[in-house]
Amino acid sequence: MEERNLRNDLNVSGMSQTAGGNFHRVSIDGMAKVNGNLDCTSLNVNGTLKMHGALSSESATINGMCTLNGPLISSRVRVDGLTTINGDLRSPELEVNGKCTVRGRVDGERIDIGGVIDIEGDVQCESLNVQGNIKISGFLNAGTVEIRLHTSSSAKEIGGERIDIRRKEQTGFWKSIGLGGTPSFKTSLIEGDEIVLEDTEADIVRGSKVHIGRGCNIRLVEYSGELEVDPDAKVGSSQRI
Amino acid sequence: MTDDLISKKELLDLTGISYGQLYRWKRKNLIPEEWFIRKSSYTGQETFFPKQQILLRIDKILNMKDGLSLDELADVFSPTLGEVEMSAQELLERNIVSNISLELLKEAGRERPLYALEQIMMLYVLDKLLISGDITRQEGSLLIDVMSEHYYRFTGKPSELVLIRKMGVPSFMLVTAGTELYFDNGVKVVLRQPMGTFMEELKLKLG
Repeated sequence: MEERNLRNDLNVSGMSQTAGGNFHRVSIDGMAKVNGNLDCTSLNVNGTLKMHGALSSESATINGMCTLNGPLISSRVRVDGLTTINGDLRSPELEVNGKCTVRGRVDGERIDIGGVIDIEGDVQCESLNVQGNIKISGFLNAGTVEIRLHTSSSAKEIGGERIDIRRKEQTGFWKSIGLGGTPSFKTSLIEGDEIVLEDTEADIVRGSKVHIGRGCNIRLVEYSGELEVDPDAKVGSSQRI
Repeated sequence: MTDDLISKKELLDLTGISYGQLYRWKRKNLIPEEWFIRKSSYTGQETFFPKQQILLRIDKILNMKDGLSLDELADVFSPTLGEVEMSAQELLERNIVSNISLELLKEAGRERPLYALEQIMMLYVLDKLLISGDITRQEGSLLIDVMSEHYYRFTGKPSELVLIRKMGVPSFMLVTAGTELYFDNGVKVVLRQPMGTFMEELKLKLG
């Protein structure tokens, strides 16, 4: 590949439409439409970007609005605005503080969610840290999962090493407006080594060290090491295997 | 031919690995996605694995993980071919193939000064099958044909090698792994082997 820093920059400050191509730094401050694939070192969106094609960028920061009709491949993605990706997302680092919708699978190393994320495919990463709202319609496979529940979140199935889902005490403001419902997590299956759950509704939980905390409703727990159940939790049946 | 399946629970019981390890290996692509077979059972959804393949794979991972990192292991198991070139002399010296298969290749007129991994793979398979007595020399040249003409089509995809005989007439096939095949009564399936196993062995020898 040619040296990236020898390429031209692309700056959009007003309204513009381009065919895509290879650039060094891309910055969108106005409204832009890209009708093709875009390959760049960095992408900065402060306005609105609509893409029809694949985006590959070493780093991508989205503060405005962005709609991608194609896959996104990057090494660092930060979404502070609103992003919709109609394709797969592959990035070792993903940080979402705004709202992000992915209609495909997500592959990463570290995923940090402070806002809202909605993923229609499977998720695979080493560590997932959520302090907001997450909805995964596929399978979540992660080394460590740490979810602090603010609102209602869900995943179809979870598998991993350490899985920690707990309620985050809401303070005055958020509690009084009651946005997004009561904190809860819904899933059909959780499998891991160390599992700590609160406010979780699940069909089956399997693990070696399992702690079922307050507000849980689990149909079946299978454990090989130890099991602790909070008096405020409902467990249909538990079985040592 | 239906493979025996093993449920996830039985697998963990049998091998002594934990859920965490299983999922980590899946993330590192040590266990291919297509081995996770979802089936409904009386307790709801359950995941099953092809028994022979998964047990062999886990055994290998457990035996090798001390020496190699997980990423290096993933390279060994990946079905894609790497960049290797070797001469016939080197292949002989490193005990990867023997003279018989090189001679067969010469007869088929497919000799090269340098062999890429794809051709080394072909020679290796040929050599193994000839030495184990599974195939004859004549069948060996059929194997050379089918592999040099069609093996590239399976780049990055798991495939299987099938040998059938009907009334003493042999025929080789390369098929996508897991394909169901049915024959009329006169056909005998002499051999059906995943190419992945050969590739793993070869990569270890080359590595």
